Amino acid sequence: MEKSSTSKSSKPAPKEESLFTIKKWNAVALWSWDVTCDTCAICKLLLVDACMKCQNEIKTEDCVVVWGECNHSFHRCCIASWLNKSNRCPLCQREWIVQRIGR
Amino acid sequence: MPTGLLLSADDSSNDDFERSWQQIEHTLLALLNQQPISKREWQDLFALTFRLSMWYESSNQIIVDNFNSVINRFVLDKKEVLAAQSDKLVFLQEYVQIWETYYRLCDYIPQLFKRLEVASTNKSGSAALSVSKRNKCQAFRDTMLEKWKDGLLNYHIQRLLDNVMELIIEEKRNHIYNGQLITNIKDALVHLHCSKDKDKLDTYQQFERAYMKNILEYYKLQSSMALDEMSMSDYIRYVDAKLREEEDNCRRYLEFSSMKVVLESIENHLINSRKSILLQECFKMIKNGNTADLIIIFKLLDRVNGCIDNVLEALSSHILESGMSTLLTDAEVIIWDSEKYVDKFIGLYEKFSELLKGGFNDDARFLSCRDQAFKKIINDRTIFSINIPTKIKGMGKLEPESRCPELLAGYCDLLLRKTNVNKKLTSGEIERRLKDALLLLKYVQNKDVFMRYYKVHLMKRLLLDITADQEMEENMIEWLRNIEMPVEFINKLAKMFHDIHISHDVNNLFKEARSKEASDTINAKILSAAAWSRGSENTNVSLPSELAEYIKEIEGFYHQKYTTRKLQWHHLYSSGTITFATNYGKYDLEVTTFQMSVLFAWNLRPSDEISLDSLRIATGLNESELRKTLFSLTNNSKMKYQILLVNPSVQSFREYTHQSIFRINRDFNIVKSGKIQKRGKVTLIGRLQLAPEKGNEEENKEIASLRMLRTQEAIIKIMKMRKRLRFGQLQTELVNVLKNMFFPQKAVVKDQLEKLIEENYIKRDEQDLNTFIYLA
Ligand SMILES: [Zn+2]
Ligand SMILES: [Zn+2]
Ligand SMILES: [Zn+2]
Repeated sequence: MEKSSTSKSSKPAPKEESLFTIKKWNAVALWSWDVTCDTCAICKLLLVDACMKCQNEIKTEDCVVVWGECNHSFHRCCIASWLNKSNRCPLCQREWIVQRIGR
Repeated sequence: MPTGLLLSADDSSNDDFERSWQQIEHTLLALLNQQPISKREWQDLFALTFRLSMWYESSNQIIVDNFNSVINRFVLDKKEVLAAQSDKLVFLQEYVQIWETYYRLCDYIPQLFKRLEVASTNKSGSAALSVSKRNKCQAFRDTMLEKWKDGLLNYHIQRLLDNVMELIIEEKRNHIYNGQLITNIKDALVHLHCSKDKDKLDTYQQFERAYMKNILEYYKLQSSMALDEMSMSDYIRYVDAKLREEEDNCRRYLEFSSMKVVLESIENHLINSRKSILLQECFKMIKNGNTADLIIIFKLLDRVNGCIDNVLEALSSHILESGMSTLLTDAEVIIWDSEKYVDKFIGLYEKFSELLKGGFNDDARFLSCRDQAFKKIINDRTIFSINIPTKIKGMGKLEPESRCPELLAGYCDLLLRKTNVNKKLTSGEIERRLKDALLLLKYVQNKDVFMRYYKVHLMKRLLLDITADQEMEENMIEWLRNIEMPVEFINKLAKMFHDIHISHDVNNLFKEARSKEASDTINAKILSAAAWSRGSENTNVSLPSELAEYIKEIEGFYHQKYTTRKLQWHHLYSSGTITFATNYGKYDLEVTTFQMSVLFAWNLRPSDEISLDSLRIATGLNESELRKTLFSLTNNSKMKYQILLVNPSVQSFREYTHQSIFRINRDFNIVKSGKIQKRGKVTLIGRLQLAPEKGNEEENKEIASLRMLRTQEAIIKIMKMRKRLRFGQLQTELVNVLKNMFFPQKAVVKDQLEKLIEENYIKRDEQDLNTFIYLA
């Protein structure tokens, strides 16, 4: 529609003068992991937050999320310690194969 | 060797025995009377006594009897000598002199009979030779000491004590010093005891008793005279000086073992018997801040058991009363002015700290008393409170709490944001003030409220780029860490700074990738929900089409870069600047995105009157957000001319009805010193939605739900460790675990316990419903 949207401030608008023109806009978006379920089934905390262990440590590194082939997702810290006991997904019992790692 | 002597003993040798003893006795008396004897004579004495002991069977007993009678005569003789001495001082000096010689000889003379004893013990066939040798030696010594005591001292003891006590009192009264003599007499009495005496200090104890009695009598008179004549301030100094003096005297004139009891009885008389006057005086000094006298009276009262408890109590109620009344007098001002509030508290804190330093030497008991009282004032709810619900859904009870943590967070914001306050201060001053706030924060019971508000303020500072000093911001995070704010909270704050940094980079990359002209018009901050999400539902809003288009573009760019993330736009956080063309000129308005959306409804129909309903459809805002946004445009208290006009006019956003009609104020302008300006800038973001407002319900609900979560976590943590707990114990442990965040209300704990029971984490004991058991 209005391709002249980036026109600078007080210069008169091309056609008829608009009542309001945008001079500056600061948009804000929040990102979260692209997951189907918000919580980690292993530690019961939100995936958007760090896992229990990472929350209580002073660290700058992120506590990321991993997705399995089954599309279930967990904190990487949580599934890592789970895999010491079993190589199956804690939710669907299928073999755990990493599909992607959050970044 | 000379065993033959024993066999040839007969009556004819009696004379010889007698003569030999005479010689011994002569030398003994010479020794006792301090007459010089030669080395030869001393050696002869040994030989003679040994020879006599071998004389015949019963000679040992005769020697003992003879010896006793020599000592007896000597002691009685000295008794008479002393009795004849009428001068008090000379009497004491002579006693000491005679005793000291005698006492020294008590070690030497028994040696003479050492061999004699060997012989007699050998006869009885005892195997423990050395022990018995010493014992026998001891027997002669004991004889000497006993004779002294019975024959001389018992007769003179009263006079001796009376005289020496007179010296002691005279020293106090007339400053006539006879310290050495007094000490010598004391030592003479201490040393006088036999090996078989059960209580070795028996004699000395008479001295101790007399000492105590005389001192007390002296002070009874003196102290009541002093109390009558002196001001209280002088009196306590008098007592302090006297007590120190008496401590010195005790050290000189008494045995260590009796110091404590004597000093205590003096203290008891000088302090305890006047406890109520002294305490009253002490309370007055606390009230008046009279530290010079306090430090002295404090030392006095601290000597007596239990007195300090009374002082602590008085101090605590003084701090509470004076603290509360100071705050109440200015309640109107400090309720809303965090700067004045903190100033007031720091003023109080410094006043009391000075009192404690000057008056109580920063004694730990008093510091902790101040801390307790301060905690009470800071967490008091009479002046102002916020309501934190104990339940989220339904009609949960509202639990009022002190607003202090909220004000402290506001104060920190005032210092860290670009403000007029901030501009006038040097960074050193800002740092000092931030530290003041942290000092008060230590006393805050519910730190979670502070954390919540601090975070919201920080979000605002970062989103609107109004941070005054990046370094100070980062220091503050370290300081918060140092006062043991929860790690998880600190981590989130640090992550917020990190996110802002990353988002800047992403924004630049996007601009480069975009083939169109690089423009500064639109910027996006893409941040992690982990650090920035506030839990509340996101509000929808329709954007001007050019913005909607931009969003689509940057989303595409972002998803290519980060394939595992999804984005949610938070227009509640976003803002911008728009140019407003009116009949008088063009003005820049700083607006929130919601305000922008509302105003753009008129862009294609500048002169239309639009109803509430049409605006709702045009903006996509929910009714309550729409009303609040409209109110900021029709009733902005900071502006002379409003942007929007509404008919009929309202006093509150609740008063808009479906008949309300809104239109643009085309005559809007800015006036400066009486002149209409053609250009100008106004900000309408003053109340950007994410800024916490007074008693913000949303924030408080968030705080409440976080508390429930933390309570659950803590219960599980504790139960996992303890396996089995009664409710009371659980509550106590919870208070401790959560102490850096908030005080867990019983109602909340009970609710969360029920929830955990439902979810089978915990069960009740069937025998005792008040006991809980952890289910693994
Ligand atoms: Zn997890
Ligand atoms: Zn982790
Ligand atoms: Zn699965």
